[in-house]
Amino acid sequence: MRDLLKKLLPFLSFAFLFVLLSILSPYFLTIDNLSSVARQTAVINIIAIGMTLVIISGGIDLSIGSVLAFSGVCGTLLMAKGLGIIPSTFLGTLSGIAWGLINGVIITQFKVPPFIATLGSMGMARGLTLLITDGIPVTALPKNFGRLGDGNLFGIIPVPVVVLLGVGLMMSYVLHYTRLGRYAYAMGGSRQAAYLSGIALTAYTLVIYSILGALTGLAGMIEASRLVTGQPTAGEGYELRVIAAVVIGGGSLNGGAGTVLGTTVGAFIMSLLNNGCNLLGISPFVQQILIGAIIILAVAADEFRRRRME
Amino acid sequence: MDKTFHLRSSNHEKHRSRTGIFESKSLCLLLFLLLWLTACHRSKQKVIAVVPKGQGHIFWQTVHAGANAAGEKFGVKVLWNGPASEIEISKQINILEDFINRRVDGIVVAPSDQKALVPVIESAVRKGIPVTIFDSGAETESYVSFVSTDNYLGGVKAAHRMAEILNKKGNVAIVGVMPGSASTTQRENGFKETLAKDYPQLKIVAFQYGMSDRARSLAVSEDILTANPNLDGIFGPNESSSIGAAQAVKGRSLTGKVKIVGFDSSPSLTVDLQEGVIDSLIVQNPFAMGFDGVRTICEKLDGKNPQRRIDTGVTVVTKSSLSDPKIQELIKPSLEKYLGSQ
Repeated sequence: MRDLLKKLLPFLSFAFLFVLLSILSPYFLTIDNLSSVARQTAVINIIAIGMTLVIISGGIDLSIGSVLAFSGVCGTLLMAKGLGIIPSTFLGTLSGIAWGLINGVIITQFKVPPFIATLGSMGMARGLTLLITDGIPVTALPKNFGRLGDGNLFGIIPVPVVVLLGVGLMMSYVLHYTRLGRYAYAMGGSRQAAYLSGIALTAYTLVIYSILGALTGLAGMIEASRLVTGQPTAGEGYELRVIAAVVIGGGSLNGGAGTVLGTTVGAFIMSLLNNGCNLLGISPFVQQILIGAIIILAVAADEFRRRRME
Repeated sequence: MDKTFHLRSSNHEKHRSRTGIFESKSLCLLLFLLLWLTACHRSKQKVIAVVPKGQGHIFWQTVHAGANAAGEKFGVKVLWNGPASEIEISKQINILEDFINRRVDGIVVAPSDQKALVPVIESAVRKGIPVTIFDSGAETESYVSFVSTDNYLGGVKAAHRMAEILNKKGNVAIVGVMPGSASTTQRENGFKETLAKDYPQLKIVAFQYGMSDRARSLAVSEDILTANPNLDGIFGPNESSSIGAAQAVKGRSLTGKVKIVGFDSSPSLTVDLQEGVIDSLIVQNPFAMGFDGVRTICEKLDGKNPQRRIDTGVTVVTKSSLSDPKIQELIKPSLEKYLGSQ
C-alpha cells in the first residue's frame, strides 16, 4: 500500500498541479493553452522516452542536445538543397541513429563509461554541426515543413503530440512485451548477472543507444520545424531537462527502474510548472528554483523508499 | 499471537505517519509559495508583455527599466519575461505562446531569430494582440511598430572611429556576436563594408563568434590575440563581445597597443573606457527602446496609429565625452528607480 502510494507520487503531483493551476489562472484550462503545453513538452518528452530505455539499462546519454541540433541541421540542409520533406525528415532521423551507434561503440568497444563517452560525443556533435553550417542557421525551407511542428490533426491535436503518443505506445510495448525491454531492466538491475545469464550485452547496448539516437533525430526534425530553421545552437541544456523528466517520473540513475508513463508525467510536470509560472506572472528566476527543488524532492523520495526496502 | 500483531501494526503506523508528514509538508510549501507569488498579480489594468532575447546583459535590464517607466506613465501593467540566454530560441517561443494564451493586451518582443519567431508573432496578431518588435527585426509585416537602433549605421560609425584611431591602416579583428541575430549581424556588416569601401589599408584578419556569452567571447578574443601577434584593433559588436575583448587585452597587458571599439555600455565597460582599455563605445538607447515599445502598444490600444519605424539612435562615446550629462544619462540610466520595486 505504502509502496503503491510512492509509485503514484508523480501522478498525484501532476494532478495536484493541474487542479491548482485551473483554480489560480482562468487561462489555464483552455484548449489553446493545453495544446501549447503539450506541443512545448513533445520534443523533450520524445527524447525522454528514449532516455528512459537507456537509463533503465543502467546507461546515460549527455549528447542528445547536440545530436538534436545535428539531425535538425542535416535534415534541413537536405531540404534546402531540394530534397523532399519526407525523405529529408527520414534522413535527419537516421543521422541521429548514427550518433547512437557511435555512442554504443565507444561504450562497448573502448570501455569508456557512458557518462564520459557521451560527454565527448556531445562536444563532437555540436562542433560538427557548427562546422557544417559555419554557425549560421539553415533557412529557405519549404513552407509545408512547418506542419510537423506547428500543424494540428483534426484542427486541435498538435502533430508533435500525435508523434509523442505513437512513440510512447511503441516504447511501452517494447519495455513490457519484448526481449529487448526485459533485458534492459536486467542489464540495469545487475550488468554482471545479465552477462552471466547470457545476454549479448554489446549488441543490446548498441540497439538501446541507437533507439535513443533515432528518437533524438526525430525530435530534432520537429524542433527544426517549429523554429522554421535548422539552428546549430538548438537543444543546449536539453540533456538535463530530459534526464530530469525521467528522474521525476520514477526512473533511477542506478538503472533497473523507469516507465514510459512515469517519464511522460515527469516531462509534463516540468512544462506545467513553466506554463503556470508564465500564466501567473511569476518571475522566470523563481521557475528555475521550483523545478530544481522538484527534481531533488523526487530523487529524495526515491532514495527514501530504497533505504527502507534495504 | 495478539502481541506480535499489535507490535507490527504500530510499527506500520509509525512509518506511515512519517512519510505522510514528509509529503504533506512539501506539498504545503509548494502551495504556499505559489499562492504567495500570485497574490499581488490581480488587477484590471491593461497588461503588456515585454519579452527580451535574454536576461544576462545590462542592456536588457535597461530596456526593462524603460518599459516600466512607460508602464507607470500610461497606467498599464508591464510583465517582463524572457529566456535566460539569447540562444534559447524555442524557450522564447514558449514564453510568447503562454502570453498569448493568457490573453495579454499587447506584446513587445525582441526576436532572437529573424525567421523562427515569425509564426508565433503572426499567431498573436491573428488573435487580435498587437505586437511591437524592438531591437532586432523579424521577417514579417505583422507588427505595430519596429523600434530599434539603426544597427548598420552603428557599425559604420564604429568603422569610422576605428579608422580615425589607427590612422586608416592596420590589422583588425571582429569578435562577432552570434549567427542569425539580425541586429548584431547588421552592425558587423556595417563595420566590414565600410572598411572595405573607405579604408582599403585596414584589413580584417580574424572573425570569430563569441555566442553572446562573456566567457566564450573572452576565449575567442584570447585565441585571436595569440594567432595575430600584430593585431591593431578589435571591434566588439555588443556588450559581451566588448567585455570579452577588453578582458583578453587586459590579461595580455596589451592595453593601448590593441585598440578596442565596443558596442553598448555597462558599468565594467565604462570603467574600461576610463582606464583606456577601450577607446570608444558605440552606445544605443535601450531605455528608449523599452519605453517606446510599450508606448506604441498603448497608442495602438487607444485607437491611434503610432509611427511604424522608430530609430532610437546611436552615439559614439569616448573617454573625453564621458562626463557630458547627456552621455551620463545614456550610460547610467536610473535603473533602481524603475526596477527597485520589482
